[in-house]
Amino acid sequence: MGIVESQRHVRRWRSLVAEDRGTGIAHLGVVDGLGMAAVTCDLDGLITGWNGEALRLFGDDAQLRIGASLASCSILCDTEARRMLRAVLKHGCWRGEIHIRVGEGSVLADVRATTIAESEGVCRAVLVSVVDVTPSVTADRDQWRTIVDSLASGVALLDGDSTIVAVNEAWRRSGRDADASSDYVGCNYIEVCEASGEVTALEAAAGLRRLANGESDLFELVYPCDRPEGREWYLMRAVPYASGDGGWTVVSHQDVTEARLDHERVVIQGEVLNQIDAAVHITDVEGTVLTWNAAAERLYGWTAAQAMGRLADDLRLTPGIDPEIRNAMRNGRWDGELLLGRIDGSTFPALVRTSTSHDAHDGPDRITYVAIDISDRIQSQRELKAARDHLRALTDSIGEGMFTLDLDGRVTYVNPAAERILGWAGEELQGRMIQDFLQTEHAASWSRIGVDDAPLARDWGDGEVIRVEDDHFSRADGTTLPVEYTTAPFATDHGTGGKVVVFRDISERKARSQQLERELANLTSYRRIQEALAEDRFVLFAQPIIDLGSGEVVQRELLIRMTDRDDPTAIIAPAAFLPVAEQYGLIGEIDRWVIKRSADIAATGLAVELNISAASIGDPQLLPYIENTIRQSGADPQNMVFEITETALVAQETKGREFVERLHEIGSKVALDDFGTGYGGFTYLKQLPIDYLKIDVEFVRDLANNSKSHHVVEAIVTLADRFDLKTVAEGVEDELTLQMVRELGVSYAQGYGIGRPAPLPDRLTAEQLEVS
Amino acid sequence: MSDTSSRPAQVELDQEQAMVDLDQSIADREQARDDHGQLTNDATQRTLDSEFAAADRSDAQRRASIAQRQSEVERVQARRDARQAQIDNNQRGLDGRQEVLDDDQRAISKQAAPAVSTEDSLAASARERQTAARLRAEAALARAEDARRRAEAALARAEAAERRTDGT
Repeated sequence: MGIVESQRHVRRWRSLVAEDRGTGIAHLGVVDGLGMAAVTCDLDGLITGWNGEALRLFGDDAQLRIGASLASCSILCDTEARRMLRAVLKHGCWRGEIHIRVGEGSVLADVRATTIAESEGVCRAVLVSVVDVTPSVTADRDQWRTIVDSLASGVALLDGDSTIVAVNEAWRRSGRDADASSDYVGCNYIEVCEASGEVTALEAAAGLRRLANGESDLFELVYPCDRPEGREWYLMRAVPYASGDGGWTVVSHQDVTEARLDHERVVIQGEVLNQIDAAVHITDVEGTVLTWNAAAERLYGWTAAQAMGRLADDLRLTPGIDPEIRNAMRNGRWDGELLLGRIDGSTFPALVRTSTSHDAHDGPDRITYVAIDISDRIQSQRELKAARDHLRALTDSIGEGMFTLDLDGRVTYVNPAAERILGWAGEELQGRMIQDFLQTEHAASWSRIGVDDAPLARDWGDGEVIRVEDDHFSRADGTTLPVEYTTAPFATDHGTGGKVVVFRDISERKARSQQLERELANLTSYRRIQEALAEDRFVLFAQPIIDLGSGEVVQRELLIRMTDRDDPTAIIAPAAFLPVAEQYGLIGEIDRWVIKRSADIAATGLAVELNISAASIGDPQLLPYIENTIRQSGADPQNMVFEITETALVAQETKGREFVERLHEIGSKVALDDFGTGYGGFTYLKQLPIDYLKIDVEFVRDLANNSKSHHVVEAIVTLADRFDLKTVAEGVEDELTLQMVRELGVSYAQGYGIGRPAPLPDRLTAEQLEVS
Repeated sequence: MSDTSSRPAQVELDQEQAMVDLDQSIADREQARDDHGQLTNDATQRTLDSEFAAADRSDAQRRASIAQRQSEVERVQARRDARQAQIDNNQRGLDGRQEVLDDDQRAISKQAAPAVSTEDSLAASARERQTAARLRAEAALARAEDARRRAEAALARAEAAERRTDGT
């Protein structure tokens, strides 16, 4: 029979007894069969009666007898009997679970006592019922012990003196793990705590003492415990409770390390969340704001208090957002740039990233929105772009060529001027190694410092600004371009580095410089010529011309030379001064000097040929000068042959014709010099009284081994024959050529093979010349 | 009996012919010089082609040097092509002049033929002129053959240049 059932019977029985206040004892037999032993006693605890179950419970040897004490029949000990009677008299009832001796053993009994036979408020007797609850209580106890032992927290039961009377398995394990000493059962826990001396232990002792004194009804303390594997945290919790047999305290120690770490993580995350510049807010799937960090407050203007718990859409954070983007943001990870809205309705560009967390069933749970205001970045990008465009426009508009190289020496940028100057398209150059196409003179020095293996920009004067004033680059068409250039290293904060090369086409400058040098040299020559004219430092060399029929010298071509002022024996060739004399207008004076000297020589009876420059042909004063000079010298005009070039004659057709015709009128002859190298056509031959065609050395020099030259000379001879002209082969340098020109029908010949030009003495007679 | 009326015309024609012959001989000489220059350039091109084929692809400097010389060869070739065009143009002019002279000569010969045949010296001159005309015709034929050969060579050069450009 369970306790509850027994109590029901007791109440019923008690009511029956109450009906007969005077002879309750006689009714004990009525309560037989209730499954509950019952004994009545007076207020001194002396037995006054019992029922059949009592007799069966305690057995025949139970010494149940009228007038015996309860202790004598082993129901209660004396102390318990006294305590029970006091409680009953005071409160009207008492209850306790106590072990009673039954035969050789004992049982756990639910003992209840209540007053009976009250008469006019006076208690006359006490009914003690005893129910053997050993099976049920044992089962309950074992159940509870198992439960308590299964708790992760260490639990101890302290009696009213704070002595540990029972502990669970976790407590015992904790004791073993701590120092393997004891679970402190039987020890005063307050004293144990105080003995440790640790701050938290002393705090725990004080708390327990307050509980024991009834000053509080709960004590909690979180304390650390350092383990070899790390610090652990425990929650000590002490709760008093009172039972029928006194005050008790349950003390538990719960490992809260994970919870504390979780808490710390949450705290840290919260702090971090508030410290980062990015605005972060988290919503549930419906869009209700769950988290709103400090940056979000600053960025959107909504305080956390205003935002939390509201729908994000109500906050108008993403005005005018594309529905597709909105869905993408809510259904997974999305990042991109968006225009976000503030509380005041203003908007700003932001970089937004969303991510969705999922619950245990893999369904969307939370959506985290991270937003960074990129207004400054966009403004900065605009400014950078403007600056870059400005610089780009600058480099694109400069006249100097410019290209940049990366650290490997590869071209990364070419400006339009460089494209134009070099003839390469920018895309053709980009990515190419610099030395592959420039072919500069520095290639050798680059090689010396290992540019072939290690690139230009890194090794070629790294860190220095280099200026090269005279170099050359190769252009796309293979031509060489004289340049000056500057190279300078550059590096950006983003790690980009290399060289910038700015160059300038100096061909014009170089040409101008060379022109200036030439002009300077010419001016020097001009002064020398003037001095030579003033000092009469010109001389005439004579080269013999032979008649190929007779082999005799019949004429001499007079060739001008200049002597050096400091060394009269040093002869200066005509190529060194005649071009300058022609350019600076001195050729006329030289021609007059030659005419004068030639006339003097011709006056000795020698036949001479003298050269007249093209410039003098157009000089209207020259012909009168010639006439006067010949007349004054007394020379036979027929002994003077004037040589003019075919080019000069054709270029000044009218004046040339007048010149030639007038010379013939004087009685002199005319030879066309360098014949065959001019314009061709030769129609002037039909109009001008030319006497000699001087076949240019170009056709004569290779006559022996060039059939084409042979044909030309042959054609010239035929032409001269058709016009009744004489021919003179110039540049005959060997016997074979001499023989060939003779066989071709050439009239005369001159050249090194016949006689070199030689100086003429100041005063010569014909005889002397013949000898020389 | 001699035909004196045709003599000045013949003399004048002979002078003209002599001038054209001289021009032609100078033109032939120029053409020969250019042909020789072309041979030299062709030889240089062949050398470059073989060097390019043998060059290591990773030897950038070597390939750049070859490319540089290739550019120079092409530049020279461009000048030669322009010069050849001038020569060809000049030759066309000479051919035109020669045709006119040939027509004039045929006209004079036809007019003077009966008289010429009776006079030995004139007959000899006529034979000389005929011989010269035959030689000129042979030379013109040779020039035409040379021109065809040059045209073929130019075509081959153009194809080779295209192959080089294509990198094949």
